[in-house]
Amino acid sequence: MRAGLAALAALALTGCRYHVEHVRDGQGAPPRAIARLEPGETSLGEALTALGAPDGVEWTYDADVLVYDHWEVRRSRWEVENPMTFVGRLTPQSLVGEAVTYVVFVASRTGRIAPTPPRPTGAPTPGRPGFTTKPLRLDGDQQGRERVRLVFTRRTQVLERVEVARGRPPGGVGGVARGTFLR
Amino acid sequence: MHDQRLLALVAAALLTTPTTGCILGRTRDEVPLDPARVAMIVPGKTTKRDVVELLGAPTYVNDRIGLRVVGRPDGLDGSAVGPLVDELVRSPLDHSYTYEYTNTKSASLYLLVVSFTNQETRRDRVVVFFDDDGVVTHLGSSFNARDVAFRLPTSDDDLPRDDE
Repeated sequence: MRAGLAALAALALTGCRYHVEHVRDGQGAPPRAIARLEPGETSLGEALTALGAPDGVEWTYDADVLVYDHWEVRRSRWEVENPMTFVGRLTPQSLVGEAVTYVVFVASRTGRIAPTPPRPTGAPTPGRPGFTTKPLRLDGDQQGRERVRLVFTRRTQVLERVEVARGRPPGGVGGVARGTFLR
Repeated sequence: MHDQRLLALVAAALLTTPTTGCILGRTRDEVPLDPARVAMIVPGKTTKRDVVELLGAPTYVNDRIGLRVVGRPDGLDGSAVGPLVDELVRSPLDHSYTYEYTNTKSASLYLLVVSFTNQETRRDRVVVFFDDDGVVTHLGSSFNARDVAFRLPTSDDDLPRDDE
């Protein structure tokens, strides 16, 4: 128990954290609606009514194509921050710099000095160096794109064929586990 | 012994509390589309001007002008084997207005040594196709923006799967 708590505390204090992320963009075309489409019979208007607004339109040599798209990524990774970075920042110079910043901040809000003029639009912002301390990263990414293309004969505006490509990563806890530990 | 366990649990809770967090984010782009106004668009009758009066300026304007084929393809023996030029030039999907409203929700849960983040984006989208005279020929509409939700990445969503 104590050893476990100590391990957790050590992991937390060093910034070690396991991230599980899921990003999804779009709805995707429902399979049942696709199944109701009949090549050779379904018209362009009927397809638009059944599947709704397309995500894109393509044109081939003699056909028009409605495209329905859906994108998804499941990602998991370890991140270990380097504690030496924090220690290294605690120098006398940094402490003096913090003090000066604090004094200027307080003075600017008590009317002792005039506020600095606004920077012109597009001017680079003088920022502090970024927080870049990731010496170790173990990635487990799975991403997929689901795409349905409805091809219509241009002359008749009747559905010629349906092209379906499904590449969704597995979902749920099992999907996360498979995408991370069982790869 | 019992007190020690309780003490350990309290210590763990105290340690966990400052290192946990929950972040909820939401991003909306444009304004939601009104299905009642979209329903007033009638193919064959409504004009481009009417559509703009109903829905405002489109988010995108799609036009195939730059891709139109102007030549007549010939076979290797010199005979015409391709479709007529008229068929290539005119397509019912040549010119369209797209109206779009995007809704994104993201939820992050930071625990002691693990974090969960989920982000999903869904849209209201209306695509109106016009003929050369500016009259609506076809209309496609989807209203999915309100279905977006805060979820955990481990939760199985409501999207249809392959086996459905």
